[in-house]
Amino acid sequence: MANQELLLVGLMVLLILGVSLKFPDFFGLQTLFNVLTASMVGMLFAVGVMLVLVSGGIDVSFLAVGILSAYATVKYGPQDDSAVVVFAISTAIGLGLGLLNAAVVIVARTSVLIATLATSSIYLGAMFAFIGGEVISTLPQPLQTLGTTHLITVKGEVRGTTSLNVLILVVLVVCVLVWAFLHFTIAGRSVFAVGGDAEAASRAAISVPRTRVLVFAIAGAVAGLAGIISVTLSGRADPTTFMGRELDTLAAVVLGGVAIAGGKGTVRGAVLGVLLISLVTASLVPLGIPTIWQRAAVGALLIGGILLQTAISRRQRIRPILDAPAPEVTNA
Amino acid sequence: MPERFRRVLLTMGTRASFIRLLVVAVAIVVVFGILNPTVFLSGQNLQYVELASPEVAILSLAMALTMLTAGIDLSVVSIANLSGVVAALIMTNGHQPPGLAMLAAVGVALVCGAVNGLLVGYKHVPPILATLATGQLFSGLALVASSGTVIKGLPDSFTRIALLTVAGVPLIFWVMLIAAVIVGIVVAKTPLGFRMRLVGANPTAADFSGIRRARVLLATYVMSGALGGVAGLIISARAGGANSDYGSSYVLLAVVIAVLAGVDPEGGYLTVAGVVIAAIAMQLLGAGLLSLSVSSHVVNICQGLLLVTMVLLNTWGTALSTVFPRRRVTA
Repeated sequence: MANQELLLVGLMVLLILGVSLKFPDFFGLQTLFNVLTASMVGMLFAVGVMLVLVSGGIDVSFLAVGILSAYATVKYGPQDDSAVVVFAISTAIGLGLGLLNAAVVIVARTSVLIATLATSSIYLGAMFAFIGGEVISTLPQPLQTLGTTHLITVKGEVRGTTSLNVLILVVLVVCVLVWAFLHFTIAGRSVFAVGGDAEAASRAAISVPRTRVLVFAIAGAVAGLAGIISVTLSGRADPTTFMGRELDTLAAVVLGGVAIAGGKGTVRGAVLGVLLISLVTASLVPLGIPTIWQRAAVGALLIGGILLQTAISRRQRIRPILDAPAPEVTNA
Repeated sequence: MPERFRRVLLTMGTRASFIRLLVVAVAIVVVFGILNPTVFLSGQNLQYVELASPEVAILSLAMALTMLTAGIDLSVVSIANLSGVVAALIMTNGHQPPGLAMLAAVGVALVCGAVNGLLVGYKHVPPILATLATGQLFSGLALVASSGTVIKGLPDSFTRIALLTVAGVPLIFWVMLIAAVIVGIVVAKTPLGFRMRLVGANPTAADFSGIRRARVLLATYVMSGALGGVAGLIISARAGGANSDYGSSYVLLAVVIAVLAGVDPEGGYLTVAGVVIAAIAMQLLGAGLLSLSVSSHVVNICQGLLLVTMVLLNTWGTALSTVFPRRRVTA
């Protein structure tokens, strides 16, 4: 495990220990379920963002892709088909939008940030202008059922119950699939190569455009899935759900040690980043800190995280392979 | 005189992208002028654009400055909101005169910019990361300071600033022009500006030529922060209140405008006139589309399409000109 990820786990353990000392009840399934539920959608978005980041680009359109796919599916999709069909439609729309992103990036030969800035405003604008902007509060029946289908329900210590929705399994499966893709397929390994150095990758006979298209397609599909899961969990389709939250997900991914310049990152890191932020939010209230401090706390945490990341990466200087072996004494 | 004129043009940018931007801006005016002359060409519409563009233009200038050094400032809107909130608190809770509040706000913005500069320059954190993190921190602090509400009840002497006109043009528009001129002079005429351009164009070369890169970056982000503070004051004067997450979409809009203006995100090139024109063009586009009473969301679509078109032209423009060869212009 990379240093950064160990640090995240350490921070989480510290946080849990600290709060549990004050409130022994905090250390329990309830907190676990709350944190997991709060992170489900974020994890999926984070995995998609991580993929694009690893391939060497900053995607800011994922939330627009997610909500547009989900909203269009709920509005125009089948109302009484099985939830699998509904999910598949949303994922497919996301995939299509991802391909569109790839087309803009490749044809215009521009940075991913600029291309997705443009497509993001086009997607959101198109949703509000042509599909509608009103909140849909009655979801198709299968989604309603799914939203209240829980994997485990536990009784609260004091009152009420806390449940973990069955969709957590979908999230887990997607995370494992993306991890397997990145680690066990040639296409997945090429993503790292392209992100590390596109020129070097293309000289090693990797098709850079094909890798880019694949990455954007997967990221789009994952975003589409995340969108419909978010809608299912909240029980309503609100087109303004994610507005202006792009930087939050990026922050989580960066916290997870995914290099912003590409070529480096893990699914585990991205997921840990999201979990840490949810855990921080969940611990603020027991620690007696008003939730209003959450954003500032995450910001401070993030600054600490990246300072550490930069310090580590600067210590490990990259040496060209053909250079002489590193001298014993390193100068500061 | 022609030589001098050419040099003035050069400082504004004679790149093909600049000419394209001008063409787009003129095209927007002509198209909407023809489509809906009674509304679009009315004095009221002009007034609206004059009032709405300064905040966007100043934020874009701040963004463009950091892009000049091959960076980016994602925290600029958070800085604007934080300084707006600070100024509002000083005026409402502290009952201090607006002048003092404005000074304090700019002071806060300078400190925020310095934090960015320290992270980017001295700690070697990639700018996009550093400002992403500080942006969260600054807007988090603004959220706490404003307790998550809109601070209202700003004194009239402050909100009047947004309504004042000088020589028939709103004061805040003059402020924008002055800010643009200052940025332009710093970038084009001062040693600092020269170093900023060099750091952006080639950091390694800058290092080897004895430029203290960290200092230059610090100065850049402090300037960017200060501009953010000014924008924050304009925003709260115009809105008559301050809020921690006003205009979160402005971050992206500022990037769009800077790119439209032809500022190279890879660093080394900035056109101040381009940024101002692009900001006004975006406002004109918005106002024009709204004057046709289309949905405000179509404006978003058009801004996105415009960005894609400009990027496509910047990429394929040279290829097109070999297909349609033009008369060679002697330099």
